[in-house]
Amino acid sequence: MRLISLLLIALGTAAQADSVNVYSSRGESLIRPLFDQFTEQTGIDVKVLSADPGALLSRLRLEGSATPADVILTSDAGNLAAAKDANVLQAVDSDILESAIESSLQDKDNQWFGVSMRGRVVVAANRVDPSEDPASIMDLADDKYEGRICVRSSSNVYNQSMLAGIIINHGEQAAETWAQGIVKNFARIPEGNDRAQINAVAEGKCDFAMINTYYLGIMLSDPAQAPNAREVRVVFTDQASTGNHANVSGIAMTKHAKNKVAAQKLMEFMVSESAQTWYADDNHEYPITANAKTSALVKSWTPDDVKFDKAAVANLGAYNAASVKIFDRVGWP
Amino acid sequence: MAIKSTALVALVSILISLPTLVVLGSFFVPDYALWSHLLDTVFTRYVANSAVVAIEVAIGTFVMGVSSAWFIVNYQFPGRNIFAWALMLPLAFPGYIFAFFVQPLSAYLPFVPAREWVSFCLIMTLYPYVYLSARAAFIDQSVCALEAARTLGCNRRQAFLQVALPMARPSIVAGVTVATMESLADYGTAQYFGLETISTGVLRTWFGHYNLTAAAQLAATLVGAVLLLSALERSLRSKAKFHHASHRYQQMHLSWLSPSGRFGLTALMSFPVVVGFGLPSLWLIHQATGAENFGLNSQFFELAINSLGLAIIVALGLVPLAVMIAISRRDKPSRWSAALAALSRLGYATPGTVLAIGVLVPLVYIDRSLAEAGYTPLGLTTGFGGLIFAYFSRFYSVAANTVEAGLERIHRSMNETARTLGASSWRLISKVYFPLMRGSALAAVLMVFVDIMKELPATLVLRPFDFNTLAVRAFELASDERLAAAAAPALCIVLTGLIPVLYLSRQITRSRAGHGR
Repeated sequence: MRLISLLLIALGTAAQADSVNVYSSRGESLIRPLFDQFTEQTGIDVKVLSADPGALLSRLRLEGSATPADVILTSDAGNLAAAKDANVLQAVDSDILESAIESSLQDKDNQWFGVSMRGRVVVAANRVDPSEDPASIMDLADDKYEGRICVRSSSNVYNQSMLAGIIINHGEQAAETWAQGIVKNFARIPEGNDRAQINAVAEGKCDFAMINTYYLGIMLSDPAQAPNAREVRVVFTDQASTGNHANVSGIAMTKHAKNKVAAQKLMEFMVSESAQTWYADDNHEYPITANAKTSALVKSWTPDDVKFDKAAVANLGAYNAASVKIFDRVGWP
Repeated sequence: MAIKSTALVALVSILISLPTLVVLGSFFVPDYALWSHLLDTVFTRYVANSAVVAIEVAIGTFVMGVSSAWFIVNYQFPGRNIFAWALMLPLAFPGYIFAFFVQPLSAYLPFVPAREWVSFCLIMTLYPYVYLSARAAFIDQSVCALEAARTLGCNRRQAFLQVALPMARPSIVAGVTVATMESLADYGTAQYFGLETISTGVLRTWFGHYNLTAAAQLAATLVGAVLLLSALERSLRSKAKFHHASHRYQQMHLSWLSPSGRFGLTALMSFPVVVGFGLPSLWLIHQATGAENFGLNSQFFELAINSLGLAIIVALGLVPLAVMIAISRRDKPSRWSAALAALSRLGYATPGTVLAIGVLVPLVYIDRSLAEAGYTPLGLTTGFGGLIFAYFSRFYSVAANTVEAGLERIHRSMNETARTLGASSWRLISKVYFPLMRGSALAAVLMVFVDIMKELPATLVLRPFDFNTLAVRAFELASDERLAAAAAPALCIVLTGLIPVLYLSRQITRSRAGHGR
């Protein structure tokens, strides 16, 4: 009898391997190598549906208990905070996650956890004298930068998060004045993505741009794009105060997850040494745990004592709508 | 039998309209808080930009599509046989990839505003819709009508303006409508150039303001505007019917121009092909050389099979459906069927991401109701059901416009004659409609096929786990700013799109009535 039940268990696991379903706002081709590592280590199959985080969140809300998703992975923690507000996540009690991730980069109710970090920084053209570099992101609204700034559209979540951070640190009024100043200082109407802004600085269309660091990493490791990327230097702002704005990507378990054990294993894997090293080396991001090191390339533009505004991370989502309203009012397309 | 088929057509039309109806229904959700902000700030810009782009695309695709079709059908010039199919090539180019190609050029013309670049990108990738339908119409036209016009003293220009153009009007309007609706629903191109349109505003409202209701309401204003326009177009068109009075066809006489005129035409026809296809393809190939193995790997086969499979299945399912609905509507016209017809086309003007929500709402409702009633949910949203539903809803308009335009060129008297001679409905369809409509039905299959190969926003949200298409992969890599890696899947879309473009182009040429039979 025992033999039969053992056999059944063996058959069951053989026939029905564990799997976990992930809604991911990071591109499938980008994140797949990491999930393949996880499958190799655990035998758990990872199924991915990648799309815009807002669309995935709407899908989660609509599907309710019928959702096939166990885990949601986003490129911006603001989306996870919004998911928490929408009541589609559940708390995960894991010593591994708790001890690996510092408290400012995870939800206080354990509903989401940061897994990697990027800086939204200012890049300046090498031809510009470093004395002109802004000490604070707020300085970029000054008249002396008039006609010299390139930045992408405000429909992009990274800009929305950045302004949300300014609202948190300086208040809504100051944030609106700042956004007005930036619009006045535009070298051109926003077009293209972050890479296009770096190219515009390199090609002399503007002197300064706001970009996410990991795009610089991509460009520097591509021989065709590296020459332009070498024409700019990275400026971390607000080092004496709040720290430079940080974008945190994160992960959470859905409220109605069907494969909870596998889902938790995947979440814990994301802070393992191999996963964090992948984020650092392959994706040019900042690892958020002590077990992995920032890559040499990223270090080449990052001072050892760089300060990021981690305090704001958990609240960025709450001010996202307010930031979009400001962008609408000041006419930042 | 008649009642049954009418009811069936009504049911299918309602199903196709359902996602759009869900979006329109958002108007009645009493949540208008964000509207005062939108009206105070961005709404006017959204509407103005969308309207200007739509008008420019309508004019631009009309001029390029109709003139190139007319020259191809009526004039002999060097390279004519190549241009006949090559003019369709830009259709295979996804707009969001074309924008990546155009953007660096915009640096050299900094005085041209973003709005004009968006219009330019859309015209260059959408004019083939007009070319395709106008060419099919010109080919179908009886030479006798044109020759009668010439005999009556019209010169070529007059024959074109007073006879050929009015006779081809249903097809041309169908093509221009498709191009204009697609430009209204466009998200990728406008987004890339930072242009604020209703369509980009919808996503900004949804993902930035976290307000799905206001986003759907904004999308509903777009859909409502299209509904009004199409009603206007229909009321204008209903006064005029263009049939071929003669059933005598003969070989079209191609006109020879002076040498300078001939080479002038060659140069003119080269422009859309070179700019809309040649240069961006070379650029993609150049990008691909920057990637390891040109970015080609074992996954490509799978991606290509996925894209091709979906596109073929949906195109072959949707076009016959559109033909049946069109025939049934023609046989039994009514106010209701006209309203349903207008409604079921709106999916094409609805931004894909919003349409996806319109698909999810009813499907999720069915599954949740089943679960609550104690039955096993069908898992409608986890398989291909939602995706195929969305494609049917979105691209029905493309198929319907094209086959209905083809149908309008068939004289009613043929129908009546066949009936009088005792032909059954089936016989009527197989012996009369099918042979006469083959050209436009094939054009419809081609358009739907290529559209699905390129479709992105609805596919992103509705596809099953671990299922990717070439468009999804190309877009993901491109938006991650990995252009070199994105180039290979983008080229794959273009190349796979070429096969049906070439094949069907030949079929359309051969299907000319009175040709070789």
